[in-house]
Amino acid sequence: MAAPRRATQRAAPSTAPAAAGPGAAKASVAGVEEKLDVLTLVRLREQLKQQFMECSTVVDAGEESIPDQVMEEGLIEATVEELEREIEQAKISFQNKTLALHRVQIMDALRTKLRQNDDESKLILETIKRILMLSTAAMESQKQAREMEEKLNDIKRKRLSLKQAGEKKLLQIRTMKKKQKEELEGIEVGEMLKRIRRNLQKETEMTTLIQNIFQVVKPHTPLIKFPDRQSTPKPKIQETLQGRVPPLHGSAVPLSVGSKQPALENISPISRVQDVPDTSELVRTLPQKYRRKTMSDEEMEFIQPQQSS
Amino acid sequence: MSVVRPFDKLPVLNSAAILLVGTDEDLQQQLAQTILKEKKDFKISIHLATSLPLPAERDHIRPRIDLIVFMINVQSKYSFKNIEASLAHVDANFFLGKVCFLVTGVGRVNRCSVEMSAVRKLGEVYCSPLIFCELELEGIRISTAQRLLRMLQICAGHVPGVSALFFSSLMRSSNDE
Repeated sequence: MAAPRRATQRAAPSTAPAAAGPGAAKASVAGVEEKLDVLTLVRLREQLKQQFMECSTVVDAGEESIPDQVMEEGLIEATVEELEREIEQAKISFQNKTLALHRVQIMDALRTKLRQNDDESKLILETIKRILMLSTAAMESQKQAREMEEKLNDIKRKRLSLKQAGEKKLLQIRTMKKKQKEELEGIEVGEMLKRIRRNLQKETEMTTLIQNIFQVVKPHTPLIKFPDRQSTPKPKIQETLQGRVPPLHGSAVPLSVGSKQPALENISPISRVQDVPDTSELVRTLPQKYRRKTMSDEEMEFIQPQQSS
Repeated sequence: MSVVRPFDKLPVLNSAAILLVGTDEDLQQQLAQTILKEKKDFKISIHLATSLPLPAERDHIRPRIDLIVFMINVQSKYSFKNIEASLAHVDANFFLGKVCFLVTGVGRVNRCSVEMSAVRKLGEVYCSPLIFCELELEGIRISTAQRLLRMLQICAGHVPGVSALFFSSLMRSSNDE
């Protein structure tokens, strides 16, 4: 425990007042003193009993529990170690001190010798000078050694830094390689995708083509028919009128495809509108009495000159 | 001995020893004098120390210490830190009623630099009673001295039937309420 201790015991035990009390009592009455003594003795007995009880309880508490004992043993070992350490420190300090003392004594002896100015003193001086020389030389060599060590350390440091830089470079190279590989893979995959896309486009084109073909091949049913005006000559109005009669009286279906159909189509919109309510069925089923009466020749003649005029 | 132990020495007949630990030496001196002035029927020895551990050289002539009073000045953080550091050098058996904290300077709350909660926590952690006082006032100093004397009597085993542990448990129960 070589640590500096600030704690100081300043106040000495002061027992003056306690001593003064009985003294005063002695001076006053001698008879009371004995009584007091008995009282104090009894009190002291009680005190002793109490203190004994406390000490015994402490001892019991220390003995009773086993873990406490183990703790105590551990504590003892720790304290023993501490004490041993202290002893060692004390020994070392003692040795150092004795060495210092020896040195001081030797120096003193040498000084006294030197003062005597004998041959021996000359010798001593020479030896001292030599020692000085040697020590200076040793100092120089030590300095050199230190410088060398520093240089060596510098070189080592440089090597270390270089190594670290090399490691970093290696890492960079590795990462670069990795990146390149990844890029290559990416390109390959892209090419594959492109090829697949091209194939897909081709396929889709093919399928559209095939679809078109199928559509073209499908039998075409024309919804509208135009008359062949160039081959058949234009019919006259009379003819058309005559041509119109048979369908009215006959059983011809208006939508059926026939040679007379173009004539039908040629009718003006007005006449057609008049015709619409008279379907062929109606015309057929109409009784004779409701039908228009057939005109006689005279009637016809009568009407025609009127029309012409 | 780096650690102060309560039961490593035998008690001296009709005498008790109190140890005042604190950084404020003037207050320590004043308190010691007032304790000495008090009327009592046993020998008392008062030891003053700024911090623990006590020096080992004079350990053999030092009597058994019955009560340690740690004086914490609320107005200086250093005293609090010093006491905290000193507590490490006290044996655990001491905290069974033979330690008390004397918190001084509580009369001037505006100049407090130590938090009261920290002081209270210290008292709780070490299972020891806190006594708040203002030692610079004569009357309070005397009353504090009387209290300490009574506690010392109990701790030294001068009061039959009452031990330090019993007394401290009594104090604790009053604190908890």
